[in-house]
Amino acid sequence: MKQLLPFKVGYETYALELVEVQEVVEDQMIHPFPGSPNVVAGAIGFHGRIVPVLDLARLLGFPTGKMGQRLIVLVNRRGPVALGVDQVRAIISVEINQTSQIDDDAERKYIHEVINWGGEMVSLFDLDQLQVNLESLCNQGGG
Amino acid sequence: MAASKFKEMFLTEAAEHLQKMVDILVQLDSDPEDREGIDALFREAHSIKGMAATMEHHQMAKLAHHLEDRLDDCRQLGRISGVEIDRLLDAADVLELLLDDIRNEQPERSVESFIATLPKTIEAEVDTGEGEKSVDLAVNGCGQLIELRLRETVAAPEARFLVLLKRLADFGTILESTPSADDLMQGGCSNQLLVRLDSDMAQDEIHRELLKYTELQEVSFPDNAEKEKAKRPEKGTKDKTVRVSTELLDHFINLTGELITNRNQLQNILKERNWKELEDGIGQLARLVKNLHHQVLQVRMVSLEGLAGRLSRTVHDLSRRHGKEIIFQVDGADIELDRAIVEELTAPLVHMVRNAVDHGIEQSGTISVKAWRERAQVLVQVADDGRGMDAEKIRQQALEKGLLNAVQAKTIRDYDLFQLICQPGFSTATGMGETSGRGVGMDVVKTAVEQVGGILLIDSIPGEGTKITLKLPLSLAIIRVLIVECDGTRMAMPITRVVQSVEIAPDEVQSSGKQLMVHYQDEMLPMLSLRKILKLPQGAPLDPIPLVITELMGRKVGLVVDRLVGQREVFVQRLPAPFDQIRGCSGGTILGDGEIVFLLDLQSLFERRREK
Repeated sequence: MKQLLPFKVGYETYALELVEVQEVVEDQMIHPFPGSPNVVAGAIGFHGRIVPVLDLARLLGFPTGKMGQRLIVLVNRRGPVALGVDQVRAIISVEINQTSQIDDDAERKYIHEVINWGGEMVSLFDLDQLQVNLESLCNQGGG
Repeated sequence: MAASKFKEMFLTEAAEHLQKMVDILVQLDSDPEDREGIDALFREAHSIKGMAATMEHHQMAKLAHHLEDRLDDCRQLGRISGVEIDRLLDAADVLELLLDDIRNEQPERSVESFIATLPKTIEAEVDTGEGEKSVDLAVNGCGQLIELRLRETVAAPEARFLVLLKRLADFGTILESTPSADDLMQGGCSNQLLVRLDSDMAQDEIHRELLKYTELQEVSFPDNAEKEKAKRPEKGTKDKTVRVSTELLDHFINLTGELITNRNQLQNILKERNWKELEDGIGQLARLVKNLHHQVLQVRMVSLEGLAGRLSRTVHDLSRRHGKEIIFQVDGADIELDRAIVEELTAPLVHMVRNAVDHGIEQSGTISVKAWRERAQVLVQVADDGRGMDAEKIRQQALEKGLLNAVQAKTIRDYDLFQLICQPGFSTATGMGETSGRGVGMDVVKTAVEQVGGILLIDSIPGEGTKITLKLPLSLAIIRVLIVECDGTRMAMPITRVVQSVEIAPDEVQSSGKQLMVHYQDEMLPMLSLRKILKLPQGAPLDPIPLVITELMGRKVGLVVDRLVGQREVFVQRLPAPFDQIRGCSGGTILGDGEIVFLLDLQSLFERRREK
């Protein structure tokens, strides 16, 4: 049994395992910072710490507009870093066997499993892949 | 729990005794009949032996015991020879490695074979000076090692080696060689030559070229890195414990007491809604927090003494190896800096001192390290009275490398010119180490200094020597910044990076071609727009124009911002990895009103552009 937090970016529904999430925050002022790659929207002050915010829509190649109604702050092991998403939905529980691995598919980045949740396709977001890509993004610098 | 606590204590104390041993040894080198020094050395070895035996670290105890025996002999003799000092320094290195083993919970390495290399008895050896260690090149440093062995039958090996050295110089820069060219000229050398070459050529290419010389029996490339690792353990961040004086701890207790009183006072005010006293209570709180902050910073402060010991060891080893006579002076080792800064700067300072020995001092001279405080900064200066740098040659090199254009080359001041040796491209220039008296690896030094918010100044006069000064903040965490505004966003620059902030009238701006310039003091500075650098939309014309005079790539520039907000002290947080890799931003701070202000790192932004 896995607990997942589903969220929407663009027209897709993704999900994160609940154990990876520290907090969901909203209406936070995002402060832009100099020299950042464009997928980094800026940073928020989170319990006295500076936490960078990723523009997930931009990262996943959706049309960007109003970003970051909701911010999902990941656990400290992951940075900490916050993901700006369009909408966060209620937590769901799934059986492991409801998920199906998908092959590496260039068109569907950052997804490692897909779940059929009552007829709706929910993509499990791949944080490890994100971490690897972030490292190379930050090293090149933005512009 | 108790065991690990003892282990920590043992490691800390043993490391201290070891450091003292090394310090005394280096001192004894200049005064080998200092009885008190020898006695002190004996006591240090004895302490280490005792501690190691108690903790059942048998190998360490065995080696310390052996040292004790040798030192006892020295006591009988009343003097210690230079050769013996070198042996004991080697032994100290082995003890250090043993400490590493214990720290990493590995079985101790055996000291049997090391002890076997030491002669059994200490005679009243006469120092033979140089030539003692025939082939043992600096195992630390950059470049690659090449070992050449001539056929036994070759006559006049010195002459052959001189020819080969000259040929090798065509491939790159010869950083050092054993024996050196001077030694070869004097004759009496063996048929083996070890060269450290800084070259862009591939190893097998060099190998192929060298094999054309039939008198060579063998050409090999000893592995640098391995040897270096084995010889000198890198000191650094491993000491995680600090010693705090009980006096300071008492201060903390007292402060905690006062804070509790203050909390009660504020709770009372809240309960009684006695707002008149609120201001008083908060004023009290502000005073206490400031005091607490000050004390905490105090705990983080360490003196430069440990670092000075390390540097004198470096000078000792290098001068012995190159047969140079160098007096090493340290002044102001009691100056204290945040431990994080001291840790960051250890490697760069060792490098600067090594440069001074290798390239500054020709045969004999003085190297001095001085530290002093100037307001909220600490200055550390490494100076030598060696050959100095030749501004003309650097100018030529910079022109050839395209770092300056012809006009710049004419107008640039010496001071700015010397900064160019810190450019990554400059240091590897062929022959630079020889011609300028400086060069290798200065870019690394400069980067490290700037990372802790400091700046590096170079001053040199040909024939009189070179002075390199580091201006450093006292503490890493809390720094003074200048806050500026640009496109509605506030940003900060460390005050150490700001020369001055001024406002100028639009008619003071002149244009030279496409570049806008401004007259500042007695020079013309290029004007750069922060909006443009950060790719922000162009703003409305400004009058007056706020300008931050700062240094970029070793040159003064006027940075145009929208507004100068003011200075303040802030607590800087590094961004979490990997965001700390982003160029242009070296951290951030959360202001009282919740706004996040980022620290601008223009230097790295510009470096990125250059790389593109």
